[in-house]
Amino acid sequence: MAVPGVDRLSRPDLLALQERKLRALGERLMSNPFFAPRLRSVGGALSLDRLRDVPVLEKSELLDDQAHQPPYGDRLGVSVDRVAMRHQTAGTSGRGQEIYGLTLRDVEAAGYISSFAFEWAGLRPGEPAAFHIGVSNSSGGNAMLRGIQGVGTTPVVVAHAGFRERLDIMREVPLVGMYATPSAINGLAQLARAEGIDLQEVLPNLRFLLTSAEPYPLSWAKKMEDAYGARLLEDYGLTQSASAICACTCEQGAVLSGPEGLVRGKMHFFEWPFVFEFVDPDTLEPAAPGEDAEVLVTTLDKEASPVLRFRTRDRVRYLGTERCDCGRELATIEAGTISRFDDLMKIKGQNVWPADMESTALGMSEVVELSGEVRIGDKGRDELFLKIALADGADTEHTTAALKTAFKSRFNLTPLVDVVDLSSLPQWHTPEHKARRFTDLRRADLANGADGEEKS
Amino acid sequence: MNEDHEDHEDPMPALDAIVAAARQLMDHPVPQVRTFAAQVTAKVEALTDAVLPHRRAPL
Repeated sequence: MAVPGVDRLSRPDLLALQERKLRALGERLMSNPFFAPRLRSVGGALSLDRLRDVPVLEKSELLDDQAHQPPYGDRLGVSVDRVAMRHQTAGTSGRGQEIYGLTLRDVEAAGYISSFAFEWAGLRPGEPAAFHIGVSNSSGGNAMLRGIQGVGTTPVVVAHAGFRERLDIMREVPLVGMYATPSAINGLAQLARAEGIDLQEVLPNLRFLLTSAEPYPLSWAKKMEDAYGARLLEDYGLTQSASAICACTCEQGAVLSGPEGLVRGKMHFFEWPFVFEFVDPDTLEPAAPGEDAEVLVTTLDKEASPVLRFRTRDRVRYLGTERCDCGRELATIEAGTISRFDDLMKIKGQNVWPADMESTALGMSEVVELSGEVRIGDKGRDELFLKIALADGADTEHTTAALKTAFKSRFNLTPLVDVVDLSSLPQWHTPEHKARRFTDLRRADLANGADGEEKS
Repeated sequence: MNEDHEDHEDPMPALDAIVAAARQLMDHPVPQVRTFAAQVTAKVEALTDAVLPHRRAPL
């Protein structure tokens, strides 16, 4: 009798697997001082039905737990000497960073889980793929790099280099794929165009572009596929999942041709190591297929720092669990449209809260007001543009340099700063208007042709 | 990969044997050997969790 790969289990078999793992998780967490009280409302062994009786888990509760028992909180669930790696959310200190321990087993599992995305993308043993994501404790880089290695292939790590050098490195290797943010894919395409480089000619073996982290217009996705001569796929990951990739478009990719033109592809969730719920963020009731929903995640296997019904605040368009043409029966969302229910921004791979950027800038006595825009810059990738108004007598050059240093130090971002007259900036003096000093215009910029082509 | 696999390709018996062998090295006097044993065990357990959970027990 043939046994399917775990990503191709029938829906009933997948749910049976989740039930088995949930039951074991419930038993394990009864000895966890953070989670045991949350499980008391469950009348019996933890199950898919009873999971909804468990209170949802808020970021603020995790931060409180860490403050009570630093650094990992009571929820760690293993002895500290078993922590083999530490991950933390990329948020800034003003809002607090969630800190997660990983055991050796968690580290390895995150790589194996992530490898499914590369496998679906078409990576095969022995084939090189370029890796454009920086590896640190505050991103999924570790798990994704292990994901490439999990397929049995060679990652060509280029995140340390500027776009020019990346192109040079990539040309020397018979790459079949690359993993990069939409901004990096766009920036490389723009550089190639500016220098008269035909990407299809210099990267003749390239078959796929795997991207994540930022939404993108459909038209841009198609242009990138045409520029690189490769299929675009998208994945989705969470720090709470040991930073593993948790969902990915299947082999069909992120852009499909339908009878009425281009349509967005579908991302399938990896439901064998996790349980995902798709809920209305106000009522927490399950969303129906076709509705926008917030993702809740429960880790089934993670030994250290597990989560149970964690509220991601990620906004997705839920498409149900109907069998895909690829044959998988996994929970599915629309590709290219993941955003946030809160105002967290991801700029150049860094998670940044607008309020923290405001407090950093306005905390300088020389700065009296500011306005920020995240846009696709001249080099084709995301840039943070700040307009600031200065206090009387403030030195323009000194303040601009100090602001750049402060942003680099705190957010790992170097903004492009313009000093303007106070009257040209929006005023936020009245209590009925919540200050919205930062605007994300990247998607509009990409849709308007900031993709390496001449603007008309 | 991860298409259908025939039963005779079931990797679980061999993986269980690897873990059993690694566990015998957990108390070895050379620290690097102990680390290696822990890494091998973690790798196999992670592989079982992430890729082969449906092989571990009937659903």
